[in-house]
Amino acid sequence: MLDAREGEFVDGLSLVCEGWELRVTTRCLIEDLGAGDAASLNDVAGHQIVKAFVRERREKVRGTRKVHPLSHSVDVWVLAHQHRHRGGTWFDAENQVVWLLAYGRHESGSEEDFFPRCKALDEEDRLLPTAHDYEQLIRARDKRVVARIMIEAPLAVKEARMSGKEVLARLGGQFGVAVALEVAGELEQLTVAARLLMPADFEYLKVALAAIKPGDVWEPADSMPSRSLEVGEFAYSYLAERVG
Amino acid sequence: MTSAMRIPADVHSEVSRLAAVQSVKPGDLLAKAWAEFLERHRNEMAADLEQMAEIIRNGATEDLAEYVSRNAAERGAQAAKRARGV
Repeated sequence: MLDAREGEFVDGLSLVCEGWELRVTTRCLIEDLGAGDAASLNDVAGHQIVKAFVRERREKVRGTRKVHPLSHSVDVWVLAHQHRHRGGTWFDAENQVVWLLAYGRHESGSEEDFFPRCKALDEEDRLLPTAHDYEQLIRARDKRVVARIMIEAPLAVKEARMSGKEVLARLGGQFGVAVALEVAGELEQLTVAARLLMPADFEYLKVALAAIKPGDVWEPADSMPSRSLEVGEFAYSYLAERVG
Repeated sequence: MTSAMRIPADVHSEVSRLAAVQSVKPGDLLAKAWAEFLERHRNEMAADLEQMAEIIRNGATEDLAEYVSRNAAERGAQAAKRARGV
């Protein structure tokens, strides 16, 4: 079992840390670490390079030395453990994931040496995460984020109702929303806004709206009660009888 | 209220070019594009919210996550392309 710190947890091939995930590509898992395709990060937690991966990249997403030259314009950082164990990691800033892309032994002059092998994988376009790797990441992340939005979105509304101010919340640890209530007599209008920066964000906004008030009751809003919308920000509101 | 927003360089370049042609600010053009996107997806949004409400009424959060992931294969393919700078 992987030694997760407080606030960290293993989810399939990922260790979810504060701020980013550490994840192994399926190719690296099977071909380099020798695990089965159904294995999780916990199943390879005892491997020397996985221990080094967790130890080094939970603290810093980049290393000090790159694997180069590579045909893809990404920075693959060398992960070194003892004299011979070498890994290649890449910080995927868009998705906030540090990927363990490859593992091998450093044996200068050998055909199996990590560095030429890493370059060969790059030339064959087998080094970077594949569409399947990303699909698995997206499915796992959607599952986690949706479960948290279902709990946290109604709590944000409760906070907005109690404070009487616009409340900012980071649902599921990564999806930012603004929630505000406007009361007029016996009616209240609830407005939820979010900046949609990633492909998943529109889906997460719909989940947040459905978690707060299920059904097609939401109407697009032009502004928040106390301000206009920012570029890239979408807002929806619904009118209901005042609660409490 | 305004704020800085990071967008890909090629999109920024295209938006700036179009804004110059139309004699408007790039930010105003983006805001208009967002509004049009919202309007075009109005029916889809309503249908999705109804579908999600139905799933929530049946009490299955995992089904809701599965619904959100319905385009995961396509999103995964797009993410892999972006990783390769395609």
